[in-house]
Amino acid sequence: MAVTRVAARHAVAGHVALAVGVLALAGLRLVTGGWYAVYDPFGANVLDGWPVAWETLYYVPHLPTFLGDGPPLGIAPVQYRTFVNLYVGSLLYGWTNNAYWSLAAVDVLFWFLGSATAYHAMRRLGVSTLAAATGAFLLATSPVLVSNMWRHDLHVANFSTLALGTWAALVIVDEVRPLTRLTLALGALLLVLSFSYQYQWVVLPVAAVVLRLRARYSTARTLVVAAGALVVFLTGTLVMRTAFAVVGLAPDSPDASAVQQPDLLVAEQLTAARSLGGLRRVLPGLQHVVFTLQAYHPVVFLVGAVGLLALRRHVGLAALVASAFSLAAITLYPAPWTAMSAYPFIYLGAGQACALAGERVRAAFRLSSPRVAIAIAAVLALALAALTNGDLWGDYRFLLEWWRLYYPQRVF
Amino acid sequence: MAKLYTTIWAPPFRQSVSARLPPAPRVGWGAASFVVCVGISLAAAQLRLLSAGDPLAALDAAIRWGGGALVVLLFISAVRTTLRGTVEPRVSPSAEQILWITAALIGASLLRSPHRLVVNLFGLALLGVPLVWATRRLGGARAASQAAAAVAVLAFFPTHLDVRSVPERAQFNPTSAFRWAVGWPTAAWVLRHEMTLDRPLGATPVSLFVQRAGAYRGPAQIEVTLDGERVGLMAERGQDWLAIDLPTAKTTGQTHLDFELRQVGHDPQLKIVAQRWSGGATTDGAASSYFDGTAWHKGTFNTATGRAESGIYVLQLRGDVWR
Repeated sequence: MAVTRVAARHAVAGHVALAVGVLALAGLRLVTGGWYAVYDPFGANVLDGWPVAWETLYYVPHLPTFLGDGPPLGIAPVQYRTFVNLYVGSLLYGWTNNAYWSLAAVDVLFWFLGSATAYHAMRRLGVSTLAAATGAFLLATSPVLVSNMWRHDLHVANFSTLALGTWAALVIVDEVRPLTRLTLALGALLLVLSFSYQYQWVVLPVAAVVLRLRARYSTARTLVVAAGALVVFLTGTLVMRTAFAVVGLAPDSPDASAVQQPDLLVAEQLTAARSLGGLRRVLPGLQHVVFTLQAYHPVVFLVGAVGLLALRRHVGLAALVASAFSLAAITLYPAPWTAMSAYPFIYLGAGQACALAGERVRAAFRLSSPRVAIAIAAVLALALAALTNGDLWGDYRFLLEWWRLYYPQRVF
Repeated sequence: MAKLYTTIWAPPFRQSVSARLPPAPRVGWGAASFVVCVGISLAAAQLRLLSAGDPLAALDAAIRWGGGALVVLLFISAVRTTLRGTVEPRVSPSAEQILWITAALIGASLLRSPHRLVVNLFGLALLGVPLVWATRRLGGARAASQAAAAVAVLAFFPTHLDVRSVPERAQFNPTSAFRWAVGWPTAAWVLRHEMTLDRPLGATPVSLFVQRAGAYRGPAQIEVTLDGERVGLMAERGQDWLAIDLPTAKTTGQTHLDFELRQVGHDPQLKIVAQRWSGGATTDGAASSYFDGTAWHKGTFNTATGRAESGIYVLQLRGDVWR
């Protein structure tokens, strides 16, 4: 299939604009303030004189594990779940001799890749170019990515992998045949996601919904593929952990308890909930919904929800499944980024709503130029982005509210 | 289902591989790219030789800059190939061949260190395989091979290194533009920090904490006054922390707190940490100020550089406190 020059030019321009936008959003925060250090200066540190969070201690000391022949530090869950990002960071450090900018480059690179793949995932989910571009823009400016820049714990790279994973899952479900290869591919995707954060637990149920309702597999086949992918993932995990243990990389440092693992958290909660009443207490409640609204910003979330209503049934159901996971996750680990574990769908809905509003206005006033719709969608998207990016012009309220969802602010 | 959207404009990969084309063309990066890499490499070596006069350092610079340019150019080639939209089913060498050869080279190079061997091979697989998969279906076999070659160079070069140490994380850096140390250069020096709260403080005790800049074992202490009245001397509380419990009589019902910190038994070595970003402070950039013996100045004073810096002292109120 030949590609028109115009389409190529538009695609290049769009991706370049996104890359420049991501660089600007990250770079400007070096002037106005990285969100975390603004919120909690006591938790901030410096590396080579540049700002980081204290949690950098889990990652920077591990660079010699990849680059040095000396005795290695064990790979604890905190490093295991960000292994890919840390590996890329270590390669860049090997080339540049600069740990600070190597880790920053990994965050920015994944920030861009997450936003770009979100665009393509949105297009696959059936929205227009305008809606997908608006959605990708909203994701690039969203607190889930902005908030952790200049912390250097690779969280930006971690969080962007949900968009990457959603896109990859859609491609696999749409294009990989036969069933065995499909199962292996999904399992491999889950394994890669487990090495770049924990979104395999979101992508698996979303993939199941897409398999059943989009690719029209029977319920039985859907369950077989999902279960098979889970087995592939668990087998791969076992192989990797065994290999690490064999070469002396078993977690033996204080880092071993640095993060809480979702499977252990679930087991802990279920063990604690011995009665029906106890079980009810661990289920999501209204406060968790409010928490989620605050994490996105209530207006952004509601616009996203409205936009999702205008999309196909399987998209709405996939969004519901991801949202249910998010709600369940914040009962275990109440962090704003956990609450945003359905973000590809929420920003897809928001992008769709903005684009639809533009189209409706154009139709209402019987204007022929599509630029009117584009302009209106752009203005709405900018307005939504402004709600969560006030720190760029000195309004730090949303920044403070967002981090306060994780822990109370220290007054200073 | 409506017409399937395929990422960017490439057809679904299963269509592209089914196309029947003549024998695989070579990947090819072009003579121009080669010349650019060699040019950058030679320039870097020459510059290092001029500045350091060390041939080994010059060789290292040549490899890093030339190789780095090669990685960047290969990635750019992969992107350009993708954007051209001509999807070739196969090229020689294939992306898989490149990754296998790279794995073998890394394996041979890292046999000396089993843990490095394992983490680097796993890393190569976890990075290379998804990248090749994605670039192949976006831009075809040529783009995939170019991406694989970029990853190969990127991943193989560091195998000859033996990095044992990394830069240390610290709470401040004397010359940092983001977090530095402030002290009391003279006995008359005073540091002031103001807080404004949304609701009056209750009757429960609250404490003021400051982050000390590094270890200090000297005689000096920090005396705190609150709204012009002496409160007492700060004491060590935990690593790198100094704290003082504030009397409830002075805090209950207050919404505005004006702290002044002075030294007793003056010693310029006793310092606290300051930070550039002030957006989280209750009074923003106006929170911190200092008295240099003659006048009050907004912001902080970096004692290492001898320069005034806008920012805030890293201190906080703990207890039942609301912003």
